[in-house]
Amino acid sequence: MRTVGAKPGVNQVEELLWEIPASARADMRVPARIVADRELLEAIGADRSLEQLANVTTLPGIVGFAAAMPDIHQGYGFPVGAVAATEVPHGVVSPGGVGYDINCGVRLLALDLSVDALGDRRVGLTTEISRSVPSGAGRGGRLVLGRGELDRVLAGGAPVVVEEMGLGRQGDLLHTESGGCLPGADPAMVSARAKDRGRDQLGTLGSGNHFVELQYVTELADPAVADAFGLREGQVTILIHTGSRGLGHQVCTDFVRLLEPRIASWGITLPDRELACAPMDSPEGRDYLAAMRCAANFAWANRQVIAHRVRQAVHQELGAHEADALRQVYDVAHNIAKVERHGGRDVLVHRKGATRAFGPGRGDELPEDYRSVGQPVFIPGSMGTASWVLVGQDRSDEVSFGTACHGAGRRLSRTQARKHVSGAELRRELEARGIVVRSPSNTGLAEEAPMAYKDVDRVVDVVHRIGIARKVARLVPIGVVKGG
Amino acid sequence: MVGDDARRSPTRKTPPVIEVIDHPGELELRLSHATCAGVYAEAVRGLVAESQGSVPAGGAERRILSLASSTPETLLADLLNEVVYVMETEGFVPRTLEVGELEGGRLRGTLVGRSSADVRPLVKAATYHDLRVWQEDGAWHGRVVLDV
Repeated sequence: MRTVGAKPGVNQVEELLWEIPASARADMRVPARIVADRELLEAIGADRSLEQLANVTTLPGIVGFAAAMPDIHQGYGFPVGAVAATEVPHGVVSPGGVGYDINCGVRLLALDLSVDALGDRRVGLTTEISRSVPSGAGRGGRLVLGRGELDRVLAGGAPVVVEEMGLGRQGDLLHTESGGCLPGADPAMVSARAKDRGRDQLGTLGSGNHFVELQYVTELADPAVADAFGLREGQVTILIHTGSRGLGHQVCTDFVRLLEPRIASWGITLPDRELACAPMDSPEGRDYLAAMRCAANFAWANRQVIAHRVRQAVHQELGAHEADALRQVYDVAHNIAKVERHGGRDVLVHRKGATRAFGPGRGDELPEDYRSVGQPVFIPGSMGTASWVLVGQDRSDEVSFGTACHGAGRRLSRTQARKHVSGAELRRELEARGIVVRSPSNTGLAEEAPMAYKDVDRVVDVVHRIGIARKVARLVPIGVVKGG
Repeated sequence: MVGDDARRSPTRKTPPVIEVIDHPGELELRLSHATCAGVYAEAVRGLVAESQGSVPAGGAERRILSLASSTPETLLADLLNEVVYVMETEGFVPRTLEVGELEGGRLRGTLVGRSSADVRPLVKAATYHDLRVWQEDGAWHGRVVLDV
């Protein structure tokens, strides 16, 4: 190991892996690892990400190390882009390690159509998707669930939407992480207030950086794996990015409020109140896990409803054949806590702004048609720039508890982004590049401007070179539907 | 301790201040006011201004609040989470908070504002990260990080 001059206390383990040793602070239980190149590490060191990552290592029962992905940025409690695994059943579960937008995630759909064949119909398709998928501004979708229906969705996730409501296909579920449903979800653990927020939000995008993007494949980095994922050069794809909406936010709010005053009673001392946690085997820990799983299931159901609306839009704009041929490549969560087997034991892996990236060695946990290649991983870039499809690699088990990054990672705050460009200017600039933009808010558009994010190609390059996920295909946008 | 004294104007006048510290993924509100009640009211205005672009100029609709939190700090988070909830579920956008009673972590008061069909749900929640309410140099201050 050698010390990097610019970052005292951060040691280089290998070219793209860095470590803050457990000895750096008296309260650290394990080391903190950072996956980054030297330039990204410099950028990461500019905010409080590394301090927050070190804070994560103080959680009781943490196993091995806490890991930061190259897109990490400062958050609250956990930084965004972090992974931590805790012992089952005596370690802790931390709502802050999942985040407020429980099971925020990404779903990729692929049309059986080339960008050339789509031509100018991209305008009508983007417009129809924006009409079909309420974007933000707190407006509900067309589905308003009764209490019984909502409880069934919370317990059963995307399969309830497909099998009981008829909104989707079995193939969608087969190509969804965990089949779109975490077992052990108990709707009785979700507050009335959370259910109130979620009741009319199924099938809605939300605000901030959530979007539906119409894209096409510009480059195949691994044609064999791309073929296994059903992707080819020039093909049109649709990427959906959203989560559990207000229901998930409220679940996190409720449990941080419940747990924070009880921490001392479990003999736990924390450097940040937002790391509030509970022993997994305590009643409070079990209740949070049961509620968090409900919110995760709600998010998968949400993306399922949106995918169905997209399929309807394709039917209307491109016809029945194209709608029938629309297939789901995969759906992955990037804010979640799941029990997984790592290093020969069960651990609870918290991923906050981080994507599961299982390699072919864990094929028995993947859909049958992906077992021999590994799990699809989607890394959306900023609006108007490239996104990537990668495939999980077995080395991810050793480096990051089977995890890769989740996006480009913010570089500028929302205010700074607004200072650089107005929403109207950005809309004109994107449209001049042939990208159709449908967004109810110019402010929201400016806040998500491409320059507000790190270079996604660089972030993906690091993940590829260290061997936790390998590049498969690069996608560029031709239509953007943004939340408010 | 936040009590009746906290609402009494100090001898030295402190103008209300809402400072927004913009982090890459979150918003931090730093609040100062002559009174503790004023810090809570400014927090409401700060959250509304940041999420909706501005605070409504008018509106006389009222929502009565009664909050019981463990500390003055958690009261600040609970108050803002209440505002997030009414904006999202009722489309009610407050322009001000009228504080009736304030004692420790307990607050009774009224949110005054108007309903809107177009509420931007930018703020997901008020967090406990770096959450503080304190008195210094004759003024009251608050700090809260919002997840956006």
